[in-house]
Amino acid sequence: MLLARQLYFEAVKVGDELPPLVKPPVDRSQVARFCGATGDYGPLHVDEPFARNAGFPSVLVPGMLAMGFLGELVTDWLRGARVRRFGARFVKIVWPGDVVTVRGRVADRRFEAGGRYAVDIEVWGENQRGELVVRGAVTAQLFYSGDDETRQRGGQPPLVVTPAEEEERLAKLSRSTAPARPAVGTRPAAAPAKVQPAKPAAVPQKGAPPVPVQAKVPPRPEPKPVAKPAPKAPVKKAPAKKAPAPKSVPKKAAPKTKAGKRR
Amino acid sequence: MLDKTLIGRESESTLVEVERGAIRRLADAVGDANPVHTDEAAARSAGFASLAAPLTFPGVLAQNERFRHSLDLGTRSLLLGEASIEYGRPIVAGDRLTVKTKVADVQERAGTSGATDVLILETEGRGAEGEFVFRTRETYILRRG
Repeated sequence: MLLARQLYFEAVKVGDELPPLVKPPVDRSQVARFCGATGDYGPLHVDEPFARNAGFPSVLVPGMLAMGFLGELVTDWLRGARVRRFGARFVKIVWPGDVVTVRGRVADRRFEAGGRYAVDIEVWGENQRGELVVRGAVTAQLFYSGDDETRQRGGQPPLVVTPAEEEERLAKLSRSTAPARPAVGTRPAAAPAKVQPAKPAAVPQKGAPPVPVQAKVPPRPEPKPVAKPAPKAPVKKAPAKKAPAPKSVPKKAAPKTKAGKRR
Repeated sequence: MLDKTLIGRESESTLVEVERGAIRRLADAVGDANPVHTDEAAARSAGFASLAAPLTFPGVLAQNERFRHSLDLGTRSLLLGEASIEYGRPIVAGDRLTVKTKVADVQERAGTSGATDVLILETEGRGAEGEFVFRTRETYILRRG
């Protein structure tokens, strides 16, 4: 039944990874369709001579499209949970022909007053060269459990669970039976390693570091990237420098790549 | 340098109906096959009141070409550097939202090739009862020339 398909707070752990999503190469038709769907016909995205005149090798893929990929990633994972906040920073330009892979990881989970439960998810996207192109953060609110959802949908007050109570329940659980956690949609089914086109963990180290447009992200102290967008770099030790964005442009990728399928 | 007096300038309020077709077009353009955007039953079973707009849909609602034009940015083109969206509730098909955009800030930032102008636009959407539905904050880099 449908409840089993929900994602519940009790099943989410800090560090959980979202199944990566490899998008098909972005081509000019998709850019055109996207501009049509959003109503944003900025000439840098639709007018090749204009873009070249401005010093770019070709039209640019709108940043909002890359943000849309991140949105798709989290919507799939959250299965109906309510998103409170979604922020993204466009670190590097996406070009026609690029293959973008988006990923995410649970950065924090919080018990809030009055039986509200929130998770913060770091999300980011890389191109086929393993360069970070976009990074962001999502804060979503989840039901604690199926029981909590049933109560609230029935008009009752939310289930209030404290971290101590959860701790205790988990301890009991691990004493009696093997599985430490309720298996309800706990983990992304896909093993992340499978889907990766390129070694993305190694991303930031190699070569000229992909550098953010104007990343002034102060190195965040480990705890809580609460409701802020753009938390610390999602990829381990991304060189959060500053960036001459548009000049040092990668030669455009051959728009031929046949890659990317969902799931 | 962009004119600082632009700060605080507001667009007119517009009433926008969130159409199923607009939701579908955005989902299609992104390549987002999640049925909550296209299938009423799937949307409802996931807890939405109707077809759910993609999370970036407020970006569509924030497009106000006329307002942008009124800012007199000349021939300079806008490049989106950053965007954030707060949600009061999910946006679904059939919503009638009152949307208004304003210039939240105008800044000058040092860049590698000289100073760059930055324009920050905020757009807010409210529902039929006046309830808060979304707010976007978009940071645009202005390219000279």
